Amino acid sequence: MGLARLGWTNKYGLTVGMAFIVISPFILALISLFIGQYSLDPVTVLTILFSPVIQADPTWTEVQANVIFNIRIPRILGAFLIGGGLSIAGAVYQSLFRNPMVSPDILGVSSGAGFGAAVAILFSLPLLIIEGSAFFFGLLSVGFAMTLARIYKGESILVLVLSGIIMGSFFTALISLVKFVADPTSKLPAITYWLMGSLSAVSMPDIHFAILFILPGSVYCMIIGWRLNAFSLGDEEAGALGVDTRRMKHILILISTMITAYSVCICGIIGWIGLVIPHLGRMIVGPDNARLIPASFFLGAAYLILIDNIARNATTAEIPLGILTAIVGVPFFAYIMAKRDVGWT
Amino acid sequence: MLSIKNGGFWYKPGQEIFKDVSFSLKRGEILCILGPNGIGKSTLLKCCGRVLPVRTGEVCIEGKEITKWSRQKLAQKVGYVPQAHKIVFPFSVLQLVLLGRTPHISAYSRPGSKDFEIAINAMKSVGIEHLKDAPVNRISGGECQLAMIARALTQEPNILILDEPTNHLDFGNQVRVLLILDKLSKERDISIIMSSHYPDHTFLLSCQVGIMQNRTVSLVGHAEEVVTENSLEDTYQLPIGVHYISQAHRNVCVPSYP
Repeated sequence: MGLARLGWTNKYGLTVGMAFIVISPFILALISLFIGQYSLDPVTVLTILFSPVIQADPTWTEVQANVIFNIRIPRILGAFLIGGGLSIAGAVYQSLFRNPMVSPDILGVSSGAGFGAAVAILFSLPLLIIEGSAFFFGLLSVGFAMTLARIYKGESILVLVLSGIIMGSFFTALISLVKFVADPTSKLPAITYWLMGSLSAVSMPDIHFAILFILPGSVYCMIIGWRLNAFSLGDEEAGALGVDTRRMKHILILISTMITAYSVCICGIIGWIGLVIPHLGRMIVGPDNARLIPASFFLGAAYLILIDNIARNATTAEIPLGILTAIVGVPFFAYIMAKRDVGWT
Repeated sequence: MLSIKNGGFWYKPGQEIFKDVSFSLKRGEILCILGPNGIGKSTLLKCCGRVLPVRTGEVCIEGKEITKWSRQKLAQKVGYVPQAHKIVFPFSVLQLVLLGRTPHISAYSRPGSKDFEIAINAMKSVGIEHLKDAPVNRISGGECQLAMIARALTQEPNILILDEPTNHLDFGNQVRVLLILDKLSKERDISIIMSSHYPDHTFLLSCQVGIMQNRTVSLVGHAEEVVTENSLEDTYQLPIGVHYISQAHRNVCVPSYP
């Protein structure tokens, strides 16, 4: 029952399903505004929310407004953009590499960015530098992987993925090295916690950059969705269909890398979403990327908003997102997979 | 329509796959390449469709060198159907066939109702319209082959390049595919270049034949002239008889079995 019955095969059903997917993160975002450690009644939240538009006498405290504008809204926007962005990167990579097991960090971006952040934390650098370093090393890792693939003279997907795995392992080892030399009482927990992922430190300037790094790329991927289908035939055939496979591959890798690197740089490593949300999307709207990519974006956004609500409300202490995305996601995904004919065997 | 002059190709310099390959194909003509396994038939076909570049010589489509065509324009002229298909995601057959519209649609756009119509017609012409909604990874190898041919037709090409189109097909479907190709060449004036492991097929199609051996296409001509006992023995290193069967009104090839 439930999702299992949503076998949207006709066009009308698909449109309804798609509309439902698109609306879901917005509804969840609105609900999320009302819940949090600092309790606020819905009326106050709404009055604060609309205070910039309607000139009302402030019946709320400075602290309350601060909670809404500087804590909850950036967090929700962050979850929206990062959840959506990572899911798009995952969906694009799965199509590009013709492999349902691929996630956005397949080319080593997460390990690279994690290393960049860990080093910056080790040297007690300010937050902005930590973020910058994470972003830089994320791009660097993928750059290395692509250079390596070129040295191997391999245009093939397999060589590229292999190079990515090599770079990922290399930077994972470097992360371990940084952890090994870090002060176990202060630096080590900071690094570990950071790597597990959290949206607690997200501020409004982060969101501005997130809009810059995540949104245009995501929109581009949604627009070229249908053309991405040609890659499912393999590079040679896509080329024979008139697609400039090399150029398109490079553009899409750059976009996905930017999205993932920036995600890691403001909220640490959040695994699982980029792997699983595209599958969830495929079960609901099918493999056509023209639908799958937008569906993945909104599903991923909804999923991370939901998870972040659990992270900040379930216990008095924040639960790292990387843990929750998997602990909540695995049973959910296992259930859906058992209920629905996935059809990629 | 399509011609190749002194074409040669190698992956590693000094290890030529083939060289000095020259032949040409007129509008509506079928050319079938025969040759033993591993001789480079697929490579040659890929060079004809610019999937791989020729290292020496030139390939011309409509008199214009193939490298001078833009990707998109070339894809509107030439359809290429490779040998093996491995599609991971469960696209429906219709979605797969629609991909043939790629060269006619801008990168930022989607197929419209006209494109759907062309795709459905292509499926009708190879007789797989009933498979429209079936996922491609659940249909048989033969049905998949037909779907790939339909996809190539959806490109509305003037030239079709098919790498062993009768591979994986049952006895009936092999003949049916040949019939479809024959019809396409005659009714739509499509030039077809294909490879095959069955010399008999060249008699069925009564087409042009190129025999590949010793790193080149050594013989080109009409099936009745080129596919002979001598040339087949040379090619396959086995005595093969070519006999006229009056009931079928054509030649058949019979390999000797000691």
